[in-house]
Amino acid sequence: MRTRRGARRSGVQRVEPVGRRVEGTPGDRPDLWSNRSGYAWVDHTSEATLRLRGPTFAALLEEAARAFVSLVPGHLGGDGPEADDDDDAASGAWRELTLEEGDAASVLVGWLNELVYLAEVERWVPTEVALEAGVDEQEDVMSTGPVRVRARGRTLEQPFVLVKAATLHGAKVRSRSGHLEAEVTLDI
Amino acid sequence: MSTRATTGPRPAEAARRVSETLYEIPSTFRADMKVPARIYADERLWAQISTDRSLDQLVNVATLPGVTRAAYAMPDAHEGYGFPVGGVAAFDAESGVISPGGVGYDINCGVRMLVSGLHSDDLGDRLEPLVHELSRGIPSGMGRGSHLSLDDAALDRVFTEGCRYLVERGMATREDLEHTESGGCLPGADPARVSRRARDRGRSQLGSMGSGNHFVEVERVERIFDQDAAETLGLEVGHVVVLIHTGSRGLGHQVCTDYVSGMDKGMPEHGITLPDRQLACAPLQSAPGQAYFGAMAAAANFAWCNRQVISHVVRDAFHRVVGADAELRLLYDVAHNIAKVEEHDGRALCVHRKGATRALGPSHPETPAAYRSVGQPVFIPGSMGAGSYVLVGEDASLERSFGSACHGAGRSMSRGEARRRQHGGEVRRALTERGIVVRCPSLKELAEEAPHAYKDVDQVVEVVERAGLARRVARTGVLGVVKG
Repeated sequence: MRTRRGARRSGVQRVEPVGRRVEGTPGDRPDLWSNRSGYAWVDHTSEATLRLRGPTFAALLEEAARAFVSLVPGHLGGDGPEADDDDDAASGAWRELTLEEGDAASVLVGWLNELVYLAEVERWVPTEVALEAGVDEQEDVMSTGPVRVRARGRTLEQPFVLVKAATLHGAKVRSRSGHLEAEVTLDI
Repeated sequence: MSTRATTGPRPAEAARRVSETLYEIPSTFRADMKVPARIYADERLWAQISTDRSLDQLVNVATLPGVTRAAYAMPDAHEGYGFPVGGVAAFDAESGVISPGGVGYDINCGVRMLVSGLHSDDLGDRLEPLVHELSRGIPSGMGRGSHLSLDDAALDRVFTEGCRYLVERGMATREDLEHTESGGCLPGADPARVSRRARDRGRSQLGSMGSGNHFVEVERVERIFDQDAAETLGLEVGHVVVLIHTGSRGLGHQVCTDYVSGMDKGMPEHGITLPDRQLACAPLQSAPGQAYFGAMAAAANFAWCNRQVISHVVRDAFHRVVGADAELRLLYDVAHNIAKVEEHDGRALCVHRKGATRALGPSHPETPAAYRSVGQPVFIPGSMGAGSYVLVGEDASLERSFGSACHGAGRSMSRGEARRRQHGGEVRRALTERGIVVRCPSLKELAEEAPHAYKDVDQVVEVVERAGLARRVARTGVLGVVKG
């Protein structure tokens, strides 16, 4: 799988996970979390809590996608059947995904639930993501209408059903030291 | 957004011990609590339950509109999202709410036990091929769907008729229906309230196990605690039984996703303020409340059909591997993630059980006729390889927990911590050394479900019995495991 860290091309972000995972949380690993985007899994008795960090809301969506893809067997952290590694499949057609408007936390949860659905029903996970419209970063990251995300990705050999859903439990997006931090708990 | 942060002293500090198996956090603990929070636990389980956010979550449940009597946590309780896992709460059916998060994403996740007349000694070297056949016949793991695929018309019949539809398809018997909670069909299902996305996710998943803590186990009855009750349930020491644990798969997950999102947006309209957005709810009698109930009932019926189709596959595997005369009788099937309208304290209540099992006593009219002398069967599986308990509900459980008991041993540590403590290969080796045949597609899943990640099921069940919620009938040991 090809990897580019911090690649930016007309707002397009590659979401492949290699090299982007940050072990530990912003609180206990400030050396790793400062001045960069990333994600981390935080222990939860029965589920999985995801912490995200990025300079913009678009970066949070990218990190959320990267974290989600990391759960797919054959990708970082997975130990099951390999995903289809064909380059043609990895560079599929761009598609537009629409998320319901809402506050930043619910849009982020909606984005992850979109990925849950697509991975399970269409066996599709994103490799590149671009936030197109619907978010005003100046207005506390509130969406200003349906949020449009452009993405392309790859097809998995099998449906990915590990994640049942992203929940609103403790879901939050907040600004801290010039960056955005977010937290979402997944039911797995 | 209508949420409120929780601050101040921790609930455990405000709790008082009411009896040896019951703790209570008074309704005065927080100004927004409407009823007390009650936790069934002994000292050791209390210490475990109070280490994560289970108690905060239970206190939050005690604030919901229309909540009545108390919010309960069963002895296996642990932190969830919104409701704690192992949580029970009831809301006035006229003035109270229904909360999708109080049911959970895996709507009607549940457990059923099939009982054979076969002694484990007679299984001999057919155990391994049997477990192999089960793993081949029951799609499991992260990516495998069902051999069945249903069009919309067939899905609608599953939603509205539940397991009755499978009698017509030759995958269930009339006796199966009698021994399934609610006859395998929760009234009130409304297919029109199940979204296209939910249908898409469930369409090819009927008869599949899924991943996580779901399983099919071949077990052996090892000990009888109550001989009369065991005879009534048809359990004998040494006999082989099969335990099936799964739910409504992606269909139920999507139903919950759809309605949590919708109700979250509707909170201001209903004037409801919540301490946790995942508790999003609506008055049961409102349009969104009724819509969710209709969709949830449809998903519940899908789940009962799912376990029934798996039972059909298990019976077929027994016939092929053990012999054509190997019969498997359904002892009972119970839900542990569901909301049902029931009569308690002389009025209709919408009882939410999230990781909790109904445990009706002998006197309750919904206890199956065959079990009226002993009570409704309750199954409490232990951690992987630990074996399970068969209990029967007590009449007193109605007053003590709205007729509920716990649903398992309950996790005591995160999946990450479980993986850090023991590699999946070691877990597999330890089980194999005990003679247990294991089929699991993922070592990671095995590590996450390792026995040390759960509470001690013996202790959990002891508290259930001492608290008067249900009483022990039999304990089983594990012969073979097929993991999701």
